[in-house]
Amino acid sequence: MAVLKLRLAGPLQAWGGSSRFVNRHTREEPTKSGVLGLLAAAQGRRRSEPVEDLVGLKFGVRVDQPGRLLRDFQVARSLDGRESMPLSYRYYLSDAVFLAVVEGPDAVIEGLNDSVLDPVYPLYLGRRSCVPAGRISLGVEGVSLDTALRMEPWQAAVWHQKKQAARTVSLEIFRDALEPGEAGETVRDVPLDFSPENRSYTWRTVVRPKPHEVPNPFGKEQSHDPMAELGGS
Amino acid sequence: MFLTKFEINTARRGARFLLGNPQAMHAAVLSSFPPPPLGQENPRVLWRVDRAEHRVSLYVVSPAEPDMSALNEQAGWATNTWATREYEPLLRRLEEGQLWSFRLHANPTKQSMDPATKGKRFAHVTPKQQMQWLLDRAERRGFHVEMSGDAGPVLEVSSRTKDSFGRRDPNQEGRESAVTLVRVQFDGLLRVTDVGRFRETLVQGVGRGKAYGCGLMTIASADGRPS
Repeated sequence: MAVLKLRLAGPLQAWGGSSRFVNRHTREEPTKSGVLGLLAAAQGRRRSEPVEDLVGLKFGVRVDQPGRLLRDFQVARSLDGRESMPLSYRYYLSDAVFLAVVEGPDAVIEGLNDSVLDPVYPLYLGRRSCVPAGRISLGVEGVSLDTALRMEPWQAAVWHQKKQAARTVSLEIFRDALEPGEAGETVRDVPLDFSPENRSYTWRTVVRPKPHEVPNPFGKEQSHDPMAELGGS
Repeated sequence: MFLTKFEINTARRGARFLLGNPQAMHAAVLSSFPPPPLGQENPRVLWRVDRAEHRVSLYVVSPAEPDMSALNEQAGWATNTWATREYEPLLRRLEEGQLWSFRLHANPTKQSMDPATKGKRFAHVTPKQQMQWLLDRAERRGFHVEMSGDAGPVLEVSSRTKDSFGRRDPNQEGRESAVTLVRVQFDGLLRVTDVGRFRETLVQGVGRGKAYGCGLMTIASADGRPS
């Protein structure tokens, strides 16, 4: 077994877990369908092609920089300007950075890494307009999903690190249930079919284990207890 | 001398009122002391509000032991949450060359030299100016600020706020005027160079705005900090 580590960062990201009609939501962490879709695009699969083999990969994300929710009220007209398109509210995460990890057989993971380094279709973070910033692949490693999520250094931007006052920062982890029966939240973001005519998803259990703690080099929170020198309070 | 720590219950309306208006907080602190004998001024009482993640504590340094039950009723918890300690033992333990970590809330200001506004006081705005303000005073106050260590700069301006609040001025027939106050929190390491002056600094405070929660410097053990 091996893992492929992906750094998902960009000015805007959108990871729709469930969206209905004119409200196009985003989850606060990347969805499995979004990341598998990105991998499938890198491999050059068309939307109508099956993705069953990818669905079997184990998936987890770490929130390195949560970003901020941004609501865009979108208006659009047809090309000739006569017809107005449906108005919609689209939600984005701005300035977020995630570490996404997929685990699977060595050969598959190596192949996916090659595809991400040299993608067939352009890659994007959840919505076509959300271009990634920097390199996406952080490489392949022969460790488990959980270890990979806790081994990789903190990916947040320096300005974000400086904004955190604490000397240790907790990074939230969302991952697939690894053992059957592990308690978690059920999310409907496992793709069965990406084709526009017959788009369908099924459920998976998302576990939130103990957050990963990283030291913050810019943390400056200091405890100062003047009473300690006088016998304590 | 006494050092008192009072835990503020921020869920209470009285506490929010006091935290929002340093003038009111000063009055509340002074109301914890009996009035001075006739013909004498109130002795200098220094106070400071320290904010940690979820705790807000009021520190008071005073010549007399305070009775904070009135303040406790207004802004405290159901059980009495203040502790008073004798300050003298610590002041007597001070020696030249000792290393302490310190925290100071101050109001760094300068007097204008511009002919148009000569004599008017302006606050220092940038952390660099604010640090320089403290360094300029350190020698006269009996300590030396340690500037660098293995873990980076030791002195830092850890918070800066600009408050605006109403004030009734008895010299102007009680008319309400606005006070604007820049308050800076310094955290760092210091070395004692002159024991007598340093004691005075801890007791008398540094800089202006002492009635608005500025000037109180406290020290704690420098363990675990670069020396």
